Amino acid sequence: MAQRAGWPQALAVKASLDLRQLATALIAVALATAGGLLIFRHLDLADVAMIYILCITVVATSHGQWAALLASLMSVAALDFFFIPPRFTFVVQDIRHIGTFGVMLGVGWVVANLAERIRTQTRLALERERHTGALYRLGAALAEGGDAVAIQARVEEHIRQTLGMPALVLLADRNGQLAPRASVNAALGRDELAVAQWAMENRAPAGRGTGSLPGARGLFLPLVGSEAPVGVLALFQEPGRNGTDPKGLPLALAAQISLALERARLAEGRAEERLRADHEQLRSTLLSSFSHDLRTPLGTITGATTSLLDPGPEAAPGDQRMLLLTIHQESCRLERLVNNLLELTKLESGQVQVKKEWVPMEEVVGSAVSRMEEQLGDRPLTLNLREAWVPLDPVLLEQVLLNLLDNALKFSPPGSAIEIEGWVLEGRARLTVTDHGPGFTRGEEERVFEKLYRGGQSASVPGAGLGLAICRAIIQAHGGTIKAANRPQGGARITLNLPIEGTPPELAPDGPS
Amino acid sequence: MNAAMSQDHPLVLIIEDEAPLRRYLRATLQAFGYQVAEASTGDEGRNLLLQQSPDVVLLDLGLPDGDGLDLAREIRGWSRVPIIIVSARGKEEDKILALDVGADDYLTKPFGSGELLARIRVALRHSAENAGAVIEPVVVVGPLRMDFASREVTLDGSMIHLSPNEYGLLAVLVRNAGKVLTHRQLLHEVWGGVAGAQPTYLRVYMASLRKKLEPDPARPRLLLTEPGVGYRLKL
Repeated sequence: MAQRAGWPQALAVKASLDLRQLATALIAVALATAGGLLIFRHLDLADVAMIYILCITVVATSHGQWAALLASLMSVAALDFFFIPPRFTFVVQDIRHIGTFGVMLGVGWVVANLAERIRTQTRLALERERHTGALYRLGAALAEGGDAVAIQARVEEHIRQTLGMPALVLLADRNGQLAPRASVNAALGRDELAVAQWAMENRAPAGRGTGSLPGARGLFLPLVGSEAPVGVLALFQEPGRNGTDPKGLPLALAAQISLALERARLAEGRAEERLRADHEQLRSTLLSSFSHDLRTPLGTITGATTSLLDPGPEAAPGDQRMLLLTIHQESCRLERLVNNLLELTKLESGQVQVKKEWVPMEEVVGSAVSRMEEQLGDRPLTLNLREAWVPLDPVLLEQVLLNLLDNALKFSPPGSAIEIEGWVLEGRARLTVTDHGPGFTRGEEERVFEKLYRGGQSASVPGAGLGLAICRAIIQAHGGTIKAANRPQGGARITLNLPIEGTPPELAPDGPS
Repeated sequence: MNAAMSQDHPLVLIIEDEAPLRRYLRATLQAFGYQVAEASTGDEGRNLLLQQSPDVVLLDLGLPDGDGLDLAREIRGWSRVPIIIVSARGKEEDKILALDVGADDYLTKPFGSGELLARIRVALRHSAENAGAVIEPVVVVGPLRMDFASREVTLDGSMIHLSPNEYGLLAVLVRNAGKVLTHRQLLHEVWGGVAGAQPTYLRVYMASLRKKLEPDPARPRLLLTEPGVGYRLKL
């Protein structure tokens, strides 16, 4: 496997005869000797030899091969010295005892080897279990998904907890460079970062305990996805701990992390792609909608003006006024469109701040209605407003009402009535604007608030479908809601809900003059 | 100042950088018997103002060579000529600032000729009153009649009883009929800078005034709201 190329041997655990093993062997043999001395009067020399063999076996199982061999040698020496006549010398009179020594050493050797094998197997089993557990838990942690940065944080935390060592995940950017990260740069330093970069570029482990750049503090494992390297896993041993086997767990972890990171990268790429596509889609819709909505009135105005500038010989006297009226209407339409567009842009870019003041409902409705008097003409308008003070931004709310009135005028037959009602219910102000037109088509009630949405019946009516989107943005900025529905008797109804927080102003009216 | 000439054909100084808008203003104003002087920059406007002593100034807030607001403040430093601000929609704060530094009224682009002429008429009327320094004892605005001597207010001939605060507020509005008054100006005029006086204060008395003077307070005929700016008594 490419990842393992150049993997060094140097990290293998070095077995050394240390003082602890020496002391254990010494104590065990001393105890065996004491036991032997106790029973020697009653029993045979062979039984004493058995005690030593027991001692060697115990040492072998508890402290390993080297301690067992040591114990064997010491046992032979102790047996010779304390028990073999002439006692308390190392002289051997009976040649048969040499055979006993040989048997003891042989048994010691075999037992030591067996014990060592069992110990190794146990250790391996434990290690495997630990690996499986760690991998399983890492897998569970990675299954939570998220983007590369989330995975990065989770992996670092996970390794710190399960393996008890500091770890860093360094992510590669699109150009194959390890992306800088403040915390990482502080922890690593320039040289270590260079080792990490080397490990990724060569797709080979590097750093401490490896053949490549072993002087580094950390062990750097490349994280390689199915195609390109996605980053580096850096592991730092706590001083004084046993070395980590680089062929085992870290590599398995690295493989798993690589896959998760690659998956996250691919998902991010796809999301970006989708966003770009959505953006394109929105732009083209916007463009086609505006080119239509801007061109139509502009075309009418241009046409009407050329006709005014160069009237035909048969032009009727009333034509001029009719053309001028058309120009006026179309200009108003253009103005409204441009205003809405600007307003929505401001709202969406967060440039608009809601400045709430306590305002009587009738005042904000009144200012919108008086601004619309000209367009309303002789339309019957019913106002039914309870006396209520509402915290709102009067300029923005007027805009909402202007848009709603404009819609009511546009989407209902000439001469039909429009109603505005307002009251307070459960600490919320409620305002409705109702017309007597055809209402919303089924399923349209939510979509009408989307930008650029134009309902089936509105296709023939001018406007780019921004009015209600603006209303929603403003009402939401107030912490309120806006809903569209049809009246049971027919006609569209828009309902505004505005929260009333705090106490409305209360001034004692002064006496009559 | 050419007073006699001015009276019949008042001189309007237009300080506006957009040529098409200037052209429209000139055509409309001349058609209604006004004389017109045009400036496309603030500096030019300042010079014309000194040379020709216009009767009213139309000032665009968005001039290329500096802030129209600063120019309004500067003019107010040495002249009482009525200033009508021309500004874009959604610039309520600029309007309030301009009115508070002494501009008389404002027009929001785009505006029709009717609105333009009405504003100019109101501005000229108030400047004539100021010049004469005569306070009319009785003022009639539409159905409303206010007698300042007897402190009597009638609406369509019937007596209306007002509280002192209501009367004070209505008096200021009637004295400035047709002109927009900012919240600050009204609070200052009516309550004279009483601590704690806020726009809310004003709204309370405006609501009670409307209840007494408007048949439908949500569809006012007289007491108009200028959202975010202030109030105006409709002429």
